[in-house]
This record gives sequence, C-alpha cells and structure tokens, in this order.
Amino acid sequence: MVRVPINKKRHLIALLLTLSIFVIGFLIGYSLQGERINYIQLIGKEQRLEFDSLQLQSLYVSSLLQEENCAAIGKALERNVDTLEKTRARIESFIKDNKGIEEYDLLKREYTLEQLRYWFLARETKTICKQDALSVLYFYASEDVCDDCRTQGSILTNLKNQFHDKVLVFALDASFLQEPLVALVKESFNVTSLPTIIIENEPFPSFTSQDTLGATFCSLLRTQPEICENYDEV
Amino acid sequence: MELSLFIIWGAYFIGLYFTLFWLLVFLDKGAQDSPQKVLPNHPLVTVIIPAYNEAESIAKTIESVLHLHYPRDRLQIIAVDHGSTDNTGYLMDAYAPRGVIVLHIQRTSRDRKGVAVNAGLSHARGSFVACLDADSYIEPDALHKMLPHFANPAVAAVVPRMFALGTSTLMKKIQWVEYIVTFLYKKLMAHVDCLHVTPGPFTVYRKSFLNKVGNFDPYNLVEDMDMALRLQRHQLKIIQTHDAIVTTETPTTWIEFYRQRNRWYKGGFYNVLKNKDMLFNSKYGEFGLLQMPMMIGSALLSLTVFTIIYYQQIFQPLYHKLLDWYYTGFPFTLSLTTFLQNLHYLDVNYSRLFFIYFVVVIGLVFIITAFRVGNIRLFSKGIRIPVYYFALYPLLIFIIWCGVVKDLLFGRKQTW
Repeated sequence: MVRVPINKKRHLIALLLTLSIFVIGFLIGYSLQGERINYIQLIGKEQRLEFDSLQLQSLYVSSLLQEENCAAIGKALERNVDTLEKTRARIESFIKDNKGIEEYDLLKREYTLEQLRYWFLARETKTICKQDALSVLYFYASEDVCDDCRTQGSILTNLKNQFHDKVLVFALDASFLQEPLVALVKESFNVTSLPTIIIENEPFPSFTSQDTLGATFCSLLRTQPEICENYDEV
Repeated sequence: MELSLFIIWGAYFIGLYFTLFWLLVFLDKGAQDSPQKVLPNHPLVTVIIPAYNEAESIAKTIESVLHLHYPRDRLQIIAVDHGSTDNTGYLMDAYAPRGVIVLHIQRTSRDRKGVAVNAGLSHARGSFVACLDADSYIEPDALHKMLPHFANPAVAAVVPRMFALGTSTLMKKIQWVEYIVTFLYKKLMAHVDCLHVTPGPFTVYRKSFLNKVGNFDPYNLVEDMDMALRLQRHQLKIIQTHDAIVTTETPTTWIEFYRQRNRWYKGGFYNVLKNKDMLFNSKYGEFGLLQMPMMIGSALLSLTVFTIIYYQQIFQPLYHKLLDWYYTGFPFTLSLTTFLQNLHYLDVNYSRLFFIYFVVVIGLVFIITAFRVGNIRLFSKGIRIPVYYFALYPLLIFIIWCGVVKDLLFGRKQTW
C-alpha cells in the first residue's frame, strides 16, 4: 500500500502553535517579573523615606529629650520592620521562582542594607527611649545549604506573630556575599554555623526550638506579654 | 533541580506538540467514516472466539455472533476452549448443534492467546477472519459496516469502535470515559496510518494478509498489538471504523485493572523493543516517526513528570508544612490569618498558571470532542464520572508504569 505520506505542513503548524504557546507563557512571565520588580522598588522607596523620617524623629527626641514621643516612634519602627521582613520573604520567593535574574539580586542587596540600617536604628532608639523591645538578628541561608533554616524561619515568624511589637526580627542571608557588610556583621558576632540567632547580644549558634527562644524572649523583657504564660522559664 | 526543570519543560513541549498534532488531524479529517463502496456479495467470514475461563460471558459472546445480520451460511463460527478449568468448554459445546465449531485445545504454561487464535485460524475457511474475545459482544450490523472497507486491496484489518460495558464501580466508570476518549485518539491515528493495536474484540482481518505476516505470535503478552505492528511493518493498512460497535467487559476492581494494564504496557514495551528498527524510521511514515517513539515516550513522560510533580509540588511542600507546624505547635489560626493578610496578587506565578491552565483546557477540549464524536452526552452518566476520569486517570497510568518498571527491573513472570 501507499502509506499516508508524512504531512510536513501539519507538523510545522503543530510546532508553530506549540512555540507560540511557549512564547505567550514566557511573555506573561516576563511582564510579571517587571511588575514584581516595580512593586518591590516602590516599597523600597517608601521604606527609605520612612527610615529618614524615623531617624530624624529619634534625633529630635534625643536632642530635645521629648520622651513622650517614644511610643509613636516604637510603633512606626515595628511597622516598618514588619513590612521590610515581608518584602524580604517575597524577594526570596521570587528568586526561588526565577533563578538567575540580576535585578532580584540587586533588590536583595538593597533590602539587606535596609535591614541592617533598621537594625542600627532599632538599637539606637532603644537606648534613647528605653523601649521594652528585643531586636533579633537571624542569619540564614537557602535550603540547599542549610537544612534547618526553613523550619527555624517558620519558628521565628510564628514567634513574631505571638510577641508582636515586643520583638523585631532582622533576617540576613549569611551566604549573600555580594554585600560586604553581611560578612562584617557575621564576623563581629562570630557566626560560624547556620542557622544562628542573636537575641540582643546573646548568640544561639544552632537550630533552636520555639520553646527555648520564647522563654528567652520572656526572660529578657521587662514587662512580660500574655503569651509568656505558655513559655517556662529557662 | 535544574534537570527536573529541563525534563518538565521538555515533557510539556512534547506533550503539547503531540496533542496539537492530533487536534490538527481532527480538524483536517474529522472522525467519521469515509463513504465506502458496498461489497457486491457476502464473502465468507470466519469468527474465531478464543476463551480461557470465560464461563460468565462466553454464552453471551457466542449469542452476539449468532445474531449478526449476515447470511448464516456465509458465516463460520469457531469457538476455541484454551484449556479452561471452569465450564467454558461445556458451555461452548452447547452451541455445536447450532453450527458453531468447538475446538478444545491443551494449554501449556507458556501459551498465550495467540495459540488459541492460531488453532482457530487453521480451521478457518473465510477470506475474512474476525477475532472476538470471549468477554466482548458484537452489535448485529457490525459486519455490514466493516466489510466494505476491504474494497481497498491494501486494507488488512478493520477495527470496530469499542465501548466499555457498565459503570457499576469507580474503576468501570473511569474506563467508560477512557474507551470513549481512546476511540477518538485511535480514529485520528488511523487517519495517518498509525494504529498500533488491532484489539481482540472483533477486529476483522483479511485472511491472506494474516497468513502473509505469519499469523499470531503464540507467546506474545499482547498478541493484538504484535499483530498490528507486523501489519505496519508489511506496510498494510488498518482502518478504524466509527459505525461498527463492540462492547466489552472491563475490569471491575482496581487490582484487576492494574493486572490488565500491567500486561498491556509491559507487552507494549517488549513489542516496541522487538521492532526498534522502526523507531524514527521514515520508511514507516508517521508510524515510525510519531507513533513508535510516542509509545516509549509516553511512558517516560508519565513516569518522570509525575514523579517530579508529585514530589516537588505535593509531597515535599506538604511534608515541609507539617514539619514546620510540628515545630511551632500547630498554630493553625495564626498561620491562616497571617497568610490572608500577606496575600498579594504578585505572589501568584501567572506564567506557570498559564501553562497549567492551557494543558487543562486542551485536555478538556480533547475529551469533549471525543464525546461529541461518539454522539454521547458528556454528563449522560452523571457529572462526576468525567471528573473522576480527569482527576484520577493520569495518576492511575503513573502507578501502572511504576509497577511495569519494577517488574522489568526485577523480572516478574507474567500470566495470561
């Protein structure tokens, strides 16, 4: 018999259709990336302004000794650190979604600096205002380098949800060496293993359970929030 | 990670390409039978019914043949009892007075169905031979619909449209949909000479061609696939009809289904290996270029893609979530409220969503088209049945392939 001959045109159309589906899909991805970068840059801009404002406020308070404004500063600080942390988590998940996009790395660097800037400010305002809040530095790395970091991160997020403005968490990717400041801070706190958590100046150099961390928070706070009933003293 | 991403994209590309290719064939040629010249007279047709322990259905099968609208004197019916241990042979003997030739043959452990069919063939006088599995029932007008296709001298086999019988169990429900979808697929394959199976339920062969390719392989796991491959090798034509209908019993339980498919897929794998010179061989047209690679490819795709997707998208995230919840004392309400508060429209990966959505849509288009082609309302047996099929079928195929790979690696023996 004569076989039905191979219809090259049909194969070509199928190929073109498949390719166009791919192109459409990737174009959607591309425009999504643009949107995401714009969004994060916008938040970044806001954070920068907020930071300048807060820095001035704390300068104002310290030079004019107007401690009645401390509460407002504390609230604003907490809110900003919270936004910062959420944006950081968002950047991390975006990076996970699309690896090797340079813009994300730049944004990550910006946000790392922002974290550190806020961390300094938090320590500064704490001395000025004698606030009853803890600043927590959390050194982490991506899952393929640090097995426990994901769980440790969830524990800190959960604790943050429990302690609200009593605890400020600053998360730093310890393997992010594009930013030299990270290495510097790591060295000054003598961070050699991951995850490492530093509560005020006290280091916890390995995976630390929720109970230990919660109890530490409670012991370091002057007035204990309600949640401390759930944590035994260490 | 990078490798799994590469595999997923590759599988997506190939899968999409093939689906679009078949939809293009459909747009080009439709799924109806092309009008045929009527055969001038009634050629002698032999119907062979091989059976091994089919006491439950054998009588109904023979009755369906006796009820064919075809001159009784132009029809030779041969029932072959292949060493049944139940009363199949006894039930067959009851039809001897009505002109059914009954053969009782011994069965050795190596024997497959091909032995029984060949035994029948040695007694066949018809220029056309129909094989009918003893768990299938042929509609009365089938031969009238099928024989005219043999007016084309290159046609070696004509395949009827198969329906799965009954929807009593979940497994049967899924197969009911499956057979309807498969029909469209087969019809499209036949348009470009790509049919790779001439199923046991009432495929009609031109006997001279059967003899030419050496009759059935007595030891093949899936003798009907082996036969189709041999016809393809000899550049002979296989027709899939739309109008001739055969109904067949399907496995009732999951384990029966697993055993049946395990045999089909494993046999299919061996048969492709046996004919590996046809792979990517343009001498065999689209069959060599498209169908043979796809028979191996679909297995690989099913295995790798589902392993990756089930692991990365379902198992791993679930495990992580549970682990994290365990370490944080299961803060369900707290996690839910924070999750809702943090929800942002940019967190959704729209690109991935589009790719998933497109596959789902094109899959649905194929299923709906299959039902339209079959003149069956999609929800005629309830809304849930097609949903079960859509949700469970890919998973079932994956599990069966896992079993086949396991058997191939550890060399499990196969029984009929």
